[in-house]
Amino acid sequence: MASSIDPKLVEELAAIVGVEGIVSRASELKVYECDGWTVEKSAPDILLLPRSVEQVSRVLRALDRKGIAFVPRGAGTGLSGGALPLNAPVMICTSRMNKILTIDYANRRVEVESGAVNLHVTNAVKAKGFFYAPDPSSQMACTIGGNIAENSGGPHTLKYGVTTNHVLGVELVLPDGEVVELGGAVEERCGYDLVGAVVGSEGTYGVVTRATLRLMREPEGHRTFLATFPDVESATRAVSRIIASGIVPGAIEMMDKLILRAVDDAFHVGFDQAAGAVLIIELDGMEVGFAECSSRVIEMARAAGAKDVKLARDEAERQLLWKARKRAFGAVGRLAPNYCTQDGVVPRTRLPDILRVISQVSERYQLSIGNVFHAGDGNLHPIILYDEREAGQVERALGAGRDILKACVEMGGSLTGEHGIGAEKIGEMPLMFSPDDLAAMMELRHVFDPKERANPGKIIPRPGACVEVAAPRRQVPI
Amino acid sequence: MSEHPASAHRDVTDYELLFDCVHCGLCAEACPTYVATRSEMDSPRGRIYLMKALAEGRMDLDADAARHLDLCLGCRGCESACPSGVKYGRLIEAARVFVECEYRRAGFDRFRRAAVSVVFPYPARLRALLMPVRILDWLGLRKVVRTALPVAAREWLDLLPRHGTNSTEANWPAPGAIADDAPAVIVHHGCVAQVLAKSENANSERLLAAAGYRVVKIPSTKCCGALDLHAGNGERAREFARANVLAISKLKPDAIISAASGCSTAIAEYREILKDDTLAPEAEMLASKVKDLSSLLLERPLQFSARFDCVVTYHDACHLAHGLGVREAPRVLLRSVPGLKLVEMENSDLCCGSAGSYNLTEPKMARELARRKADSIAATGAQYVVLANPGCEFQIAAELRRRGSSIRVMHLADFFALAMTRGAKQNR
Amino acid sequence: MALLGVDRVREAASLERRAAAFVVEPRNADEIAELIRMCEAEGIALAALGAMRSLTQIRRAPVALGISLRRMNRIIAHEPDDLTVIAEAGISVGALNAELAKSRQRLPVDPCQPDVTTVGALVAAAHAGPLRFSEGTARDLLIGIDFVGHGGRVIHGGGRVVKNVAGYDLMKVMGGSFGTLGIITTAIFKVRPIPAHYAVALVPHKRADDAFECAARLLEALPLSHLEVVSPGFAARFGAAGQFAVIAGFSGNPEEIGYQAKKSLELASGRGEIFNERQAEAHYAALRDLDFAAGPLSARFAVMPAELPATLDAIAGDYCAHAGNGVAEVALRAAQSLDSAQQVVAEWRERAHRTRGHLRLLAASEPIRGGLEFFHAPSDGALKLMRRLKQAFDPAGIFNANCFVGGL
Repeated sequence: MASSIDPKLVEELAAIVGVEGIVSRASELKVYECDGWTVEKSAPDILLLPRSVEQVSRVLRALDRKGIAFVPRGAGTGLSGGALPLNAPVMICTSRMNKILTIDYANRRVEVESGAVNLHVTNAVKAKGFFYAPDPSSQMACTIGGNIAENSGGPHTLKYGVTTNHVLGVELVLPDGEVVELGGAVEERCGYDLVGAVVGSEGTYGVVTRATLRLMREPEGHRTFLATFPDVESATRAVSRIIASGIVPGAIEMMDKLILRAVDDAFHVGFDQAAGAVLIIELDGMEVGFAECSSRVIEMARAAGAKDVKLARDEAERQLLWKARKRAFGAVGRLAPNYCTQDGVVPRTRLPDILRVISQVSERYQLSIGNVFHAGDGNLHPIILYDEREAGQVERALGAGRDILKACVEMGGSLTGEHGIGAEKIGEMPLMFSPDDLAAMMELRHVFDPKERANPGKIIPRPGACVEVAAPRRQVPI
Repeated sequence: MSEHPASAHRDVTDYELLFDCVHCGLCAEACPTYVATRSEMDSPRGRIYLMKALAEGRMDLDADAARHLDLCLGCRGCESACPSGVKYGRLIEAARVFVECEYRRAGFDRFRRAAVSVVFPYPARLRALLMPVRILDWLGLRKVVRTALPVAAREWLDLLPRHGTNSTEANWPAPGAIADDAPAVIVHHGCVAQVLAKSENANSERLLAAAGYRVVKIPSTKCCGALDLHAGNGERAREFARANVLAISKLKPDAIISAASGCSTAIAEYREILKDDTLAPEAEMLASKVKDLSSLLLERPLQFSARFDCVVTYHDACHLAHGLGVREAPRVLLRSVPGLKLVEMENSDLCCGSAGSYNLTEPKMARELARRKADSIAATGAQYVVLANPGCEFQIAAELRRRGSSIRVMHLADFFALAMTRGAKQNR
Repeated sequence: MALLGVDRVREAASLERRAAAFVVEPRNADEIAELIRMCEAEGIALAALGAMRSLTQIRRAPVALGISLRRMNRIIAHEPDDLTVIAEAGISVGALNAELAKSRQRLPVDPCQPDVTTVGALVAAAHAGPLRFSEGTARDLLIGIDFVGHGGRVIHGGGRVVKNVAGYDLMKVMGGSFGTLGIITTAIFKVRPIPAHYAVALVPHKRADDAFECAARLLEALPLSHLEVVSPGFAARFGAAGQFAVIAGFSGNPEEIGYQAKKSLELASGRGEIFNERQAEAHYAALRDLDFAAGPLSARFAVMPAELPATLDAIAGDYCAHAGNGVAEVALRAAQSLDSAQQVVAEWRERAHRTRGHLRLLAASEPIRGGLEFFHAPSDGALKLMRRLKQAFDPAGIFNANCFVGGL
């Protein structure tokens, strides 16, 4: 037992959350030593599974008195190590706070506890023709709280925006245990936009326990196309043409050869295995408008070099395409024991350039890299395959990832489009932000968490000690 | 100690298969025990993590680890959700063998598991054991005696269907002549099923005959081995599998079904279980013939002579949906009944807690899942819950009985027998 | 005054005098940084002027030093294929859109009088118009920002890609901060294609309830661009004098326009009229440019959308209600004494609270302005954080001090 926590405090915490709500045995905590980003591992000393905001508040008060840091966690599907405990002995998991509290169709609002699962929100309202727009690929498991922490996106954010565009209010428990209501259920804010500040703060401001979200009306219909291209260049060309034409599709997603193989093994979609890339293009809107838009999309895809453009014949076919796309990350498990994925963004017009860089990186590091990504947004997801059991492979995978991110930033892009900085990319932050920028961000953090006890060691590198500090912290041999 | 040894220290499970899991976590919400406890030790990803840590010697098999592995229903809901194609069923079955060998359970738990293992696979023993209950039911005394029993026994008793409650007194028209070249189907009667699910078996055969299949009977049916497979008794599972292969393969059926979907899935897995056995080719052949009742009935449609105006909801038995991947066929079949309205329940493919003998060995979790299932069912407003596995039938019926619900739980075979014979009666 | 030594500092000209005592027109962020450092050292308050519309309203007294960004009005980059634009804060929304229109694109945020609204003011004062219903506000479209903060630090947040979660979201912090946290110098926006066609359905109703019901039906049935209910005082501008006018805009290809036109007439039980192209654009511009700041007292309600009719029921004043958003601007025509203005504002606030929302004053005439609270106070917990934020970003208290929520 490596618990560094005073047994008296453990008793106090157990009294707050109940014996069912506390886990302190090392064997059980092991399961919580990483999230979807498995490169680095570190188990908490104590896991708490509170059931109410009162419990969260009392827990944080108790921790604050002892000066103990904590890490919030939702479903642990994050891909940047956001829920990795770094010098944070206590983990607070919101999985048991998963109720959908109120659904208000007239005002298109839904209020949920932060542990509510993303897809469950849509499932709860779809019978009435509504949906919750942000749809990260992990939506069948990830929580709204996690989405808020990471400002998650998803394929349909091209048209509908990301999490921050859909969160109107949050209930936040500050690191000292105080519960604050930020924003509300109406569109305009009073005073500073603190909700906007909280969304994307990766759990470094405290624990979000409740949120008011916007619901969207389901469009009247969808047209989902599968366009098959000989290579990624022609596919990216098609993306540019469609965007430039003034059509705003619901989503444009690309999968390259390597990913196609894995996905087809998993879901038997029947992709052309000779294809260099495919695009899933989805139009949504009014039925009457589809005829014209569809023919233009098909025409533009063909003109860009598509060998074949097929329309999903029914909802089942459409769902199969989306299932294949959304579970592509996992399907990669069929190709290699481990993968890490990067989440860099480039201006859409630079897609061909960055894809060239990625294939050079793949050669340089002798690692397979697949590409499945939100082409409409320029948001890449190069999936770097490796085997942690082979000496040096973890190091090479990390190196490849860093090179790709560096290239993204050099092309005017970003380190991350939707996965967050987390523990993973903290060393790369200076590529994008000056010391002054980072200092301003740190000042913002201190507004919410002056003692840096909420999810320490994330997002903002300590001044002058970014990459150097990151290395020895890693427990895996790299 | 290195964090990632190149190979396993202990033979916990098929170690290489563990690496199919990329820790994405998409399985969690498909796992009934995670949905109930919302702690990751009770999720597929968590259990895989435990298996890996056990295999690599980073952890010892203590009461906690055994507990989290035991709590797995083996429903394989996670396999449907998993994008990486993790063969979770095989992982957990192997891990259970490891737990059975390496871990000594506390007294009552050990007794409970042993009792299931000694009695259930043997119909004669089960019949003998149930005789007192049958007598009580004849005398109408079950309720009285129940109150005198300890809680654990009471819960077991509640699961037993009352004699004859679900068997439709089938008023079957004489089946038409069956062509010699009609496909031959065997209905595997199972072990527990041949005692407790007689009507389900009989009606399956009648429906197949009515649809024009040639029903081939086997002289006596042995347990398929599923109970042992799920309880970590690999050796006896192989024996049962061999016995079944020997008895059935020589009959050269075109299809083999079972009223219990767990049995069907087990037979479909004979190719794995017996892959190093001399009977491997026959096992492979038999496994490839596994079908399900609804798919067969869709191929040769039944004729309904009367409307059956009712609201039905369909529960996906785990091994049918996640094991054999059959989800649509039963629904299509139900919708084909004139007048029938099918209403989907929430989480129809989340396990009801029956899971073979799970509701006998893990009654607490089983009850919790039954409650959730009953809530979903009640919310649909259906009059009938149709499902294709007797275990689910008893489990859900017991829960609905406890809350005094009038919703009828029926096996697909019984339900269609009712739909057919109602028509026959009305038409006369 | 020590600052007089700096280039281009001059005394405020006629109109500017209501906003600032002195005005400076810097050419770049470095010059602003220099000014900020000097002001911090000397304890001189400063504020970006924009078109001085919000500033003159919310300030009790002119700020010592006004920063005019009229020399920082370039479009730094517009990449049509990326649908992004980088613009200096001093350019007007109208000028920016004129340039974007050459590529058939636009920044779909439509404040009143876009030709005078600067991009800096658009962001800092959170201006928005009818298109907020379908396109969102500047908050939703701002993807990157540069501002000069305390110590003269030039801070940049976000980036020039449409999807980006690297670092904290400084765009949200600066958006709607009314110049109290720093001087915004550059904004990067997502832009959108201009729809191929646009049309307006106009449905007059005698009663407000009927108008809102009609709006609700349209909202339910069609993917509109915007949806307003305008009270009789304003409806004359749309040819519906004395009535409550429902004004719904929709866009798309000809088939979509045709379908929506037909459908909206059906839903309006045949009382409506459809306007296309030029006429539609004219109605839209009139709607966008309804000037609420011109009257003696005006305010913006933000409430739950379905409760707008209750909020505005028999209200004293003319309004334009954005029915899909739960936002409405209301104006009083007649001049008010301070006493009666305070009563009206109290009554309006009460209405907003009843329907789970709040109220912000947009404008009040000179004599009564000083006695009115413009902003609605957030919850105590939120206000505490806001104070800390102000303290962190403006430790010297020089950025447009003492005029925002809670006296920040």
